Amino acid sequence: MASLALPGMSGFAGELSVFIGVSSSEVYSSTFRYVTMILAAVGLILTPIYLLSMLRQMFYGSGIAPACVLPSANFGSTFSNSLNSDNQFGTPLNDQDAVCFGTNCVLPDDSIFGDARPREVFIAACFIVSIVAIGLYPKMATQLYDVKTVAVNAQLRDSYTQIAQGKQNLYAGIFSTPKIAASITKADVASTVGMLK
Amino acid sequence: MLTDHFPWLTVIVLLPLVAAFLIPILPGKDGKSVRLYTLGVAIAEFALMCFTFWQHYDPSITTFQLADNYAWIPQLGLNWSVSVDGLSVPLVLLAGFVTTLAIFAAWQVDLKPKLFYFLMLVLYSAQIGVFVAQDILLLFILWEVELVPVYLLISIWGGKKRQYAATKFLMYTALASVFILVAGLGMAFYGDNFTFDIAALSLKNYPLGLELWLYAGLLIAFGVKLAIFPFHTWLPAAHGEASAPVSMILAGVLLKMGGYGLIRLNLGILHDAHVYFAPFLATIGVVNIIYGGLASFGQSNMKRRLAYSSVSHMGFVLLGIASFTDLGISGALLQMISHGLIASVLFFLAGVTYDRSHTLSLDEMGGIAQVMPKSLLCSQ
Repeated sequence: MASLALPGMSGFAGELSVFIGVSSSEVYSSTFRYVTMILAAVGLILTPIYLLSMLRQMFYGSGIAPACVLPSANFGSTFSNSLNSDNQFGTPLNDQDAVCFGTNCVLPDDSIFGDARPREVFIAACFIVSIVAIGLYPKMATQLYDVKTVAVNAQLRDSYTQIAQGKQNLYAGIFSTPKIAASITKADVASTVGMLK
Repeated sequence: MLTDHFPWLTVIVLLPLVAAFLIPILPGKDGKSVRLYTLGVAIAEFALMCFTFWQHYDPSITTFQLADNYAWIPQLGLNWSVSVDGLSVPLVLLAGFVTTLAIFAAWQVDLKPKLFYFLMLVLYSAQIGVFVAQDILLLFILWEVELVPVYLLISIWGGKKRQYAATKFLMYTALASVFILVAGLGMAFYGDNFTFDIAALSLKNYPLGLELWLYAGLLIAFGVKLAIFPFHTWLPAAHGEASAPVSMILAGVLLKMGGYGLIRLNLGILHDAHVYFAPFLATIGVVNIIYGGLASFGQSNMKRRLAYSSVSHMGFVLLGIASFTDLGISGALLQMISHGLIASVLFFLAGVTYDRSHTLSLDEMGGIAQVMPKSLLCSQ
């Protein structure tokens, strides 16, 4: 659920900074930024759709009526009776642990079907606590590296300014690279737009 | 060359590896003592990491800290050179956190438990080593060391198509990592002084043509790891077939090695080439976001669906890297960390569900909220 990038989760903070970072970058032309942002936003909208549909299928079924009776009410004396009457496979099932699971009735006999155990809840809780902590207070993570990323970016900006200023000299290098890079970019943007249509 | 302080980072990198080699002499064959031992080592390692960074790491300076520098094979110029800076620390902590919890998640290993935990500890060492190595040859070696346990972990404990997935993973990443070696040697031999040290390499002034070639090579190497668009096909296979703890590490840590490599080497050393490649990276990033999202719809296997969502999220990392803004690059790193946590917990929950249902197919599931209310709560 956290990767839906809801506010308060760490995914939200990360994606929001990338969004603002790219859209405020004056290096690119505004058209390039708009196209990039719109397409990335489309991608963001896709995420909740497929994740939520996955959760729905997992937890509430895919709309198909369960082929076998859920076991919870049927344990005990009525269990074997209900199985016999509802058994669609024509084969006798073991009366122990023959647990039905959604539409999937062919489980190994030894599968123990229970809710999350304490160990599993603990592991999930560790992750969820850190995800929410970083989401609510991203500085907790960013303070570890902010100085360094600013330094890295400063070098990149230097190179960018130098290249932008001294285009003629640099372009006389071994390759006519800027043209190649530019043509790739346009072609790829076009193909991306085409794919979306 | 000896350093005057206690070699914290060397200890952190080597502790799981040394501990792994003690596993064969442990008593007990059922895996109970081994798993307690492994979990103990993992927690000790994570605690040591936290303590070291708490006490000895200063986030307000950009230079390398806690540096350990020993000549390893002087004839080759190979140094054991490890140190951390702002790029390494969060990822080392992430690797420690995710791997420790993955070992805790791997509680019921019936098949060859000793080998399993041995490989997990070797993987632990190699991951941390990649994030702290400041010598490009050492980085390459550790990068290769990390492939072997992952290959074995997928091919022995994986799902039905494990051999296919493991071989595909190995072919892709091993072939791609050759580019690190080639680019590393190219950078090392260029100019007057021969060095593998990453900081020294970044001071060299490469001609633009060479720099673009080096950038392209490293982009392929790290792009395969980060699963950028044309090179992503190993990822759904490997993530889909690996057992839950291994998927957690694959998604939580190994993908981040690609992003780390891009920021450390491509952005850190080859700034000029990055100026030319950045629009391309942004485009590929967008393709990743859309393609991953769309492909995710088509998957009926839960883990493959999560794997494609990883592909989609890695697009944001590329976009941030290409942004030329402070916030963008910082966001790329934050996105890597948050995706590491989110993807790990999703794969973990997929594993929990699989333990009960013995199916990963979404069509065969349904209605498990009635029997697993707590799991539903966790995944929300």
